[in-house]
Parts: sequence; structure tokens; C-alpha cells
Amino acid sequence: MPSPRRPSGSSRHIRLPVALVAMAMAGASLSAQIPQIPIPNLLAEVEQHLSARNPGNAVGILDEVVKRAQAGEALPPGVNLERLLLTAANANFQTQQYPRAAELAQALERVPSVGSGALNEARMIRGLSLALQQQYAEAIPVFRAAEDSPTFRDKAMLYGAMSANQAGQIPVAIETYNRLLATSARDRDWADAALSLVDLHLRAGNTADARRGLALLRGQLDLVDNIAGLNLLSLQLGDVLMRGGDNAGALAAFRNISSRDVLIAEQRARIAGMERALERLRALPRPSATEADSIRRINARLEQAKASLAQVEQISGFDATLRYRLAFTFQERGGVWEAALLYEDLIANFPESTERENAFFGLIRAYADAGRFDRVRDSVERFTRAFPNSKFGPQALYLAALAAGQRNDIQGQLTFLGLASERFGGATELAEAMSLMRANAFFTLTRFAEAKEVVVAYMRDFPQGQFIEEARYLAAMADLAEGRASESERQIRDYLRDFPEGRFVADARYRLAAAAYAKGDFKLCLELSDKWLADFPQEHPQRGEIHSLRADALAGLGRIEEAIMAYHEALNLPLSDEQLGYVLDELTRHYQSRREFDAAVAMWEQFAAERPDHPYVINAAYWISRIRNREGRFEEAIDLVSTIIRRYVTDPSRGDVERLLVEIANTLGRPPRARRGEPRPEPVANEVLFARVDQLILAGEARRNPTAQARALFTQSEIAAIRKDDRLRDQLLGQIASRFAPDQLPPGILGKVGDALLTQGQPELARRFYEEIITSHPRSVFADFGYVGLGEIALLEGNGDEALARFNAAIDVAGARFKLKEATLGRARANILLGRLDSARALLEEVAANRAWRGEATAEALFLLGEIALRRGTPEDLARAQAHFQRVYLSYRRFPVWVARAYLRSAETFERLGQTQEAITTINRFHTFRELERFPEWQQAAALKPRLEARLPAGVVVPADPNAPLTVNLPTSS
Amino acid sequence: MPSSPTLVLRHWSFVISAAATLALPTFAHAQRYQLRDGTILQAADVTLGSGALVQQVALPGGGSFERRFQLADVIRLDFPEPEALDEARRLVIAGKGAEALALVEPVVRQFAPFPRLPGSHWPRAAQLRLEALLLGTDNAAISSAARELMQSGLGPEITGVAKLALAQLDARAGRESLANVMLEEIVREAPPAIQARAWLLRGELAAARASHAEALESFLRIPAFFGTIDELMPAALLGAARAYRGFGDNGRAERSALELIDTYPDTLQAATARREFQL
Repeated sequence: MPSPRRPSGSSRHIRLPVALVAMAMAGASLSAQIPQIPIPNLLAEVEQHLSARNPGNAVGILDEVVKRAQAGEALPPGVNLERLLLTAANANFQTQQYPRAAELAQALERVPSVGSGALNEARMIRGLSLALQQQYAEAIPVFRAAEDSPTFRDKAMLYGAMSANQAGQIPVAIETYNRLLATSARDRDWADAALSLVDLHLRAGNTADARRGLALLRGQLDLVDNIAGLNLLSLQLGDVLMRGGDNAGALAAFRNISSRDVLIAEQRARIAGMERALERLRALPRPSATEADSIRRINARLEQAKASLAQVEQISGFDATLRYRLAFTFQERGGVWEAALLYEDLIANFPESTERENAFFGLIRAYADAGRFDRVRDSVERFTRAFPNSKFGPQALYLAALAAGQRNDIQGQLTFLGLASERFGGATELAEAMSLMRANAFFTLTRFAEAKEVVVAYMRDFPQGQFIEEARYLAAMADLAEGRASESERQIRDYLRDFPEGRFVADARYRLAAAAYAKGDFKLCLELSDKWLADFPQEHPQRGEIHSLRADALAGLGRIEEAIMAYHEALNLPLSDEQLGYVLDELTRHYQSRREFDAAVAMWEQFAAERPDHPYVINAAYWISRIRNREGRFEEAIDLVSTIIRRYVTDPSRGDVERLLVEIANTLGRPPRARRGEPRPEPVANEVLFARVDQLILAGEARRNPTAQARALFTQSEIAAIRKDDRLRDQLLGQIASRFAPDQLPPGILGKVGDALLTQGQPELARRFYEEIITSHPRSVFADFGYVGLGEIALLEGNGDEALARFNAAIDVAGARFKLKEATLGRARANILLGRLDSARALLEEVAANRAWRGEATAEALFLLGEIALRRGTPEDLARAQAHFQRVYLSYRRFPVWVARAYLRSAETFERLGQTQEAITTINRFHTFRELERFPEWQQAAALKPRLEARLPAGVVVPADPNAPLTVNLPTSS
Repeated sequence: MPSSPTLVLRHWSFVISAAATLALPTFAHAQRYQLRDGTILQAADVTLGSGALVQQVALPGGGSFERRFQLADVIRLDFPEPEALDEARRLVIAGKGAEALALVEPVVRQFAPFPRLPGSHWPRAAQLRLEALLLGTDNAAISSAARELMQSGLGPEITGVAKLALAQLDARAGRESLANVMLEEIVREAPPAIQARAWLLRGELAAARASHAEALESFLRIPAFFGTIDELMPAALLGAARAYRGFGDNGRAERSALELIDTYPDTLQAATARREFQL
């Protein structure tokens, strides 16, 4: 330690130090001979230097006084060793003589009589002196001891924590900061300390504590001078958490970071504030000790804030990197909309950012995950333009396709796979996966031929591919769906041979059993089913299906009793809704054929009791009602059905309620039965029945509910239809159309109302109801009403393409559960309109041949077949056309509109065949049916007749009575 | 992704010592006016007269006289922020406009002669008054308060607040296109806090039109771009939850509502979300 230099002072004091030095050099023996300056004088000189803020001048003198006092020399009254040591230590500290200051402070600490105030002050001086000599570890216990002082506690903890930090004792530092923050006042120093603590936690990997610390500071932002530091720490914390997979925590950290401009502006404002405060304090003429301390503290915070600001200013792409981090963590947490906003912003506003390519990839994923596929397409376009060779391109499209598939947007999935194929071809590592995905998509869309084509290409391109097993099985299933049963069966057997432990073995063996059933080989089906049940575990998800197939085989073999048992076994196992419905319906059918009505009712009642919320509860009510009606137990049936109806009557999405409404209408509207020996009772008046409908359906709150009210009207219209009062039926359906908005109506009623409006010649009004079905109830069983109705309207408008698309959708999309006949006929009409006569003829022949559709559809189909043949115009075709027209007017008299048309066309065909008399006879026959007079063909035929008659050879008269023989009035000879 | 910068905090060079100066500083707030010539006037010693601060000076022999200090000579105010402002803020957040207005009006009047002086609490008080008014239906008062703020020349933030209020008035009156013109200007030019409010209003307008995707993109800008503005988050989350539901994404709708309820449980919006989403 260098010796303190004796300070210069006034001339009066100069001589004495020189003398003292001389004495010291002369040795102790001289001491008695040279008089010493009295201690009071020295202390007065010290006082003078300290008052003049020249502690450097005082330290030497104080050292001398201390030595003399320690040697036993008396101190003047009012001065003790304790005070002397403290002043000396303080003076040495202020002149940066840290070793001596520490020595003096320690000496004071050892004075037995030292008071607690001086003791703690001495500890602070020693602690600081040690720390400033970088003896941090030694300083820690000294500061810890100084914490006893209420005056110095906060400072001791702060400096103790800092020392521990510098000494690498991070846990000690953290613990000390924690104690400090728990007890100290929440001021700017507190915030500063908290920031340091967060920094320590981060370095120690205590992310949870760092998060808590940052959250605390966020709640006290007004106290944080180093706002840039706070943001940088948030960034560090976010990165640490993100790397650790804690995206929620990372997101919370990133969300607290301001953008660069805002942050810089905020930090500059705070720096300016601190500088103003400093300026004010420095301007004070005589700053107090407190004010001087404030200056030092503000200075310290100011320097740190400036350093942090400089760091922020140096980070290139601060905002872009923040955007990317935010977007990434939002996305990982499922916040795909927020992620998309951020990626879009990054792409648009930071064209030079290194994260831009990644951002495009993230953007496509985000849009795909949000189901915004139009945006996916657009962003794929932009991405491939901006980064044509990006390795992320195929990945992005693959993920988009995957997301589309997860949302059942199979068409969208195919679009993305197509884009990937178009842009990147097979030159991607994902080509194989995408190929199989494409085949699956086609299969799901029931485009089996295309599925087969893709899967065959896959098997050719990737014979050892990782999805070869799936591809082989998919090929077999595609053939099965396409009706190539034997080819499919062969492939299934090959599959079982090549993949005996494969993923699809259970299904493959089920398919073979089903194939046996389809071929009518019930015995083999039964054998294969039994073997399947023996080979696969009880919990296998297909077990119920196998029991159901086994039951079918048993029924096919006439072993109904066993079949019923097997169906019940299936019922006790998990089944899809479709399979469940099938099994229940089959059981009901068998019970009915065996006249075991109670058993059927008991089964449905048990089902309804066990699964009160299952959609098939309505099926249960339907079947119970039908069975009870058949037994003549009408009231029982009505009670049960109306109870179920009331449960769902206000909910338009429960479209199957209409099935029950029709059942109620059937029960109520049936003609009353006559008792034996009694006259048939008079039918109940409509008003009475309609009141009963209201009472059964509109109970309580439902009375004011529009959906329930519409359903009551619908039931009444069904009663009118059963009673063949078409006028009343249409009037009631018209009331529904005028009183209720389409969105208040269930799909079944929408379809009926739409049909009524279309029949009444109001296609525009009908269109609203049909469109509501396909937009709001696309999965309803009544969805085909919407597609067929819109197809009919398109036909009326002469738009063959749209009509064909609508009728196709009725079958392909909606399954055409109610309108298959109309859809098929509609497709034929649309094809005729488009001039595709072969396609139309095939469809019309299908309609005409379908016995179940025998009726007006057959009449129309035959008539249209005649029209097609007529258009072709060869003699054979004309003869064929004639046959069709004659079949219509001879066999389908119940449908006068077609009869009238057929007569006219028949006459015209005879005319073209040159059979004038037959043509006239046909017209005459037509005109015997006065009820056909209302049709325009009547007049057209009448207009045709004179033209035909003019062609008759002279003297030939066709009698007006078509049954009368033809007479020839030979001309009289002249 | 580049790594984040490392922050170095605290250095011993900042610690300068003096045992005598180790005591913590204490601060006491004065209430005083500073004049151009350096004169400091204690607020308790003067009253606010017409165009001047008036001081009654007592004479030793009894009696007194008035000294007048022109308001134009006041260059700085040194007043603690009135507690009424924080309380009014809480009331505004709680949707209690009338109560907030009662607290904030006296502060507005007190500082009205010095709206632009450093240390004046008029800007915050006037903003709070506008926010409180917006909770009610007195459109004339809202319009007047907004225009007063716009004319104060207190910078883009205050002007943005005023423009936003005018946009809200247009929206209320069904003049959506006019409101959108103003909002477009705000999101282009205003400081972030005001931009965020403008996006909220845009979200509300889109939601009213049942344009759910547009509403979502507007509401979600708040968490995405303005995550530090915590006070707007409840409204943004509620708006987003409703828009998700309208869009048909019930999962995300419920998640947004739950986030609102969990993070801001005591807000009006959380109560609304509990009711609307039955959570």
C-alpha cells in the first residue's frame, strides 16, 4: 500500500509535517527530544481539510493521530478512537486508498466499545474497499454483516449481491437480490436491482424466476429507467424458452418487446429525463448528502441505459427478427391467425430480412392450419415467385395438403398436391408421400379410377417405397369400389400373402368374407367370419362389423334365430353410426317378419333408454310408432313419437325430426277404421286434427318458436297430402314460405317448401329455400332436395352445365337419399339439353327399367327416349320412337301430360314415316280423351290433322271414331 | 434465427462510495409554479385569477397587497399527479363513465390554463375525460372534447386519440365509410397505442358486418403487434373470440375466451365472455 502523501496546506502547517518526517527518520530515540504537535492541533487541521472537501490532505495527518492514539496518547475531550478511526477510514476511502481504508475500518470493527452505528459504517467502508480492489469473495461476508444496520441494509444487500455476482457466486447473488427486493422500497433503484436479478436468473438458467421478475417489472414500468435493457432481457428469455420448447413462455416474453423505433424513442425519453434530473441536482448550490447520492445513482443508471440503447441500435433487423420470433411462437401455440399477420408484415416490410424465406413457409402453414385455403394458394404463388428454388416449397405444399385433408377439404388437398407436382415434379423427397396422399384423396372423393391410376404409378415408381403396403391395399380397395370384385379379391389374397403381419390384414380378411357374402356363398362367409373372430382379439375395433356380417350370412342361410343373436352381439360392440343403423334396421326387419313386434319395440326402447342423446333415438321412435300403428295401438304410437318430437322441435339442425312428423301425420290423417258390423265412421275434420297437431308439437316455449311453428304447419300439410287435398297442402306450405325465413327451417321442410314453390311456378323464391339447404345443412339427409331443386331451376333457365353439376352433386355429394330418381332423370334432361344424347339415353333406360320408380318418371323416361330416337331420324329410330310414344299413351294414362305429348309425337312420327292414315287415326284417338283438351298438344294435333288429311289419297276418309274401320270412298265413274 | 444479444448489467465502476452518502434519497412533491425569471411560486401562496396567478402579500404593519404573475410567464408546473386521474382510469376501464367524469372534470379545469406546459396534467386528464364521455351517449360533448384535444397541438398521440373518438362517433352514426377514412389515417400515422385502438374499432365495425375474417385480422393485430399494450388485450380477446365463433372455429373461440377469463379475470370483457361462452 503506498504511504499517504502528506497534503499541502497553509504555511502554518507546512513546518510541522517536515518536523514529523525528520523525527521519523531520526528514529524513536529522538522522540523525547523533539516536541510533537499536539493532537488537538492536528485534528483541527484535519477538520479544516475535510471542511474544504480535501480529504486527500487529511489522510496523512489522520494516520499519525491514529498511531499516536493507538500508542496510548490521550485524545482531546469529545474525540474517541472509534470516531478517529472512522474518519480516517472514510478519508482514505474517498481518496481511493482502499487497502488502508479497509485496514482502518477493520481496526475500528475490533474496537471492543464500538457502537453499532460506527461498526456498520466501518463494515460498509471495508466491504466497498475490498470490492473496489476486486476482492469480491472477501467483501461478501462484510456486506452481509452490514445488513444488520437499518440505515445501510439496502445498500449492503445491493453491494453484497453485486460482489457475489462478480465472485461468480450466482446463487448467493440471487439470494441476496431477492432479500433486497423483498424489503426495499419500490423505487428506480429497486427496478434496477430487479433487472440485475433477472439477468442473473437467466444466466443461471432459472427461466421461471426470470419470467416472474420480468412480469413484475412490466407492472412497474414507470420505475424502469433501462427500458432497452428490459426489452433485451425479454428477448434473451424468449430465446431461451423457445429453445427449450416452452413456446407459451417465449411468446409471453416476445410479446412484451416493443418495436425498435418505439423502444429507442422510449429509451431516449427516459435518458433525457435522467439527464434533466441530473442537471437539476447539479445546479443546486449546496447539494445535501442525499442529493449527492442521487446524482451518483442516476449517473449509474444513465450509463447502463445508454449502453443498452447502443446495443439495441446495433442489432440489425431488430423488428424483423422480433416479428419472426413472435410469429413462430404464436404458430407453435396454435395462434395461426396472429402468426399469419406477423409473417405477412415481415414479408411485406422487411424485404432484406434473412427470415423472409422461413416466413413464407410459416405463412403457408399458418393459412393452411386456419383453413384459409384461398390464402394458401395465393401465398404459394408469392413464395414460389420470391424463392423459386426454396427447399421449403414442397414441404409447404405438403403441409397445406395435409391440413386440407384434416379439415376434410379433399378437393383442396388435391389442389395443393397438384401444385406441388406442377412446381416441383417428382424431384422432391416428399414426392412419394405426396403420391400416396393423392391416391388416398381420390379414393376419399370416390374417384376410384383415378385413385387406382395414381396408386399404380406409385407402385411402379416406388416398388420398395415406404408406403408400398398401403399402396397395394389401396389398389385392391379401388378395384373393389369400381366393381372389379374378382380382381380386388385376387389383390387382397396377394396382399395377405406378402404382408401376413400387415396393417390391413384384419380388414383384408373381413373383405374376403364380405366378398363371399356378395357372391351368395353364405357358408364360406360364415366360415371366414368365424375364423376372423377366433383370430383377432376381443377389443379389435372391427369385431362388431364382423358379427354383423356373420349375422347377414346366417340370415342368408335361413338361420334367423342365430342371425338375430349375432346382430345383438354386434350391437354390444363399438359400431359406426352407419353400421349401428344397419344392424338395428335388420333386426327390426327380422322381428317384423317373425311378427315379434314386442321384441322389436323392446329393442328400440332399450336403445332409446341407454342412449337418450343418440341421433338414432328418432329412428327408435319411428320404428316403435310404425310397429304400434301396425298393431292398431295408435295413441300409444302418437304419445311416444310426440314426446321425442318435442325434445328437438325447436332445433332446425335436427333434420330427422321431419321423419317423425310424417309418421304422426300418417297416424292422424289415416281414414278411420270401421268396426266389424258398424258403418265406417266419418273422417275427423281437418280443424280437429290440426288442433291436435298443435297440442302435440307446440308445448310450452315451443309455441313461440318459429322452427316449431313451421314444423306444426308442415305436419298439417302432410295430413292434407295424405287426404289428397293438394290445394290445402300447398296453401300450408305457402304459409311456411311466407311466414318464416329459410334459416329458421329444418332441411326437410326447406326441401318440401322449395318443391311446392317450384311446382307453383315460383323458381326464384324456391331457389332461396334450396340454397339454404346446401349452405346451412350440407350434411343433412335432405341435402339432395337442395341440389335437385337447383338443378331443376337451372334446367328451366336453359343452363345445362349447371343443371348437370347440380344433379351430379345430388348423387355424389348428398347421396341422393330421397331424390335419386329425380336426380337421375334430371341428369338425363340436362344431357339432352347439352346434346349428349347417348349419355341421356343410358340414364333414361336406367330410369325406365327401375321397377321401384315405376310411374310418372317411367312415362317421362319413355317419352324422352322416344324424343331422342325421333331426333336421330333413321327409319329404325323412328320405329323405335313410335314404340316408346305408344307405350306411354297406352300404359301411363295416369299421367296425362305425358299422354298428350306422346299422342302428338306419335302422330308426327307416323307422318315422318309416311303413314298418314295412322297419324290421323292417332290424332282422332287422342281427341277422344276430352280430359286432355287442356294441354297445348291438343290444339297442335288439331292443327296438324288438316295437313295430314290433305295428303290422303283421294277418296280415303279416316273415320272420326278411331275404332271404326277405315273406309275408302271410291270415286264414282264419270 | 440469429441469437439474441447478451445484456451486461451492473459494473463496479458505477459504484462510487461514500459512507456518508449511503442513505437512500427521499423525495417530496412540491406544488409550485416556475416562472420565466426563475421565481418559484408555491401553489398554496397563490390563487388562479383572470390571466394571472395572484399572491396576497401581508404587510408587517397589517394589511396586504396583491402581486400578479402573468400566466404567460409560467414556464413549468411542479405538481404531483392528482390521484383522481388513476381512480378515473380504473373507473373508465370498469365502464363507469359518469363516475370517472365526475373525478376528472375538476382536474381538467384546474390545469386548463396550462394545457401544454411541462408538468401539466391537462393532457392526461383531457384524454380520460374523452374516454369517459365515449362510454356514454352525449355525442355533442364527445365531439367537443375531441376537437379540443385536436386543437391543443399536443402531438400525434393526443391528436390520434381525438381522431379515434371522431371515428367512433361516425361509426355510431352508421357512417362506416367516413369512420374508415379516419381509421386508415390513424393506422398509418398515429403512435402505436392509438393504432392499436383503431384496429379494435375496425374489428368492431367488421364484426357488425359479420365479416368475421376481417374482424379477426383486426382484433388479432393487438396481441400480434401491440403485445405491450395490456389494457387493450381484454377487448381484443373478446372480439377475437366472437369473430372466431362467427367464422365457425368454435375451438379457437373458446380458447380465446378462456385466455381472456384466465388472464384478465376482473374485467368487464371477462364477465361478458363467461356469460356469452358459458364458461
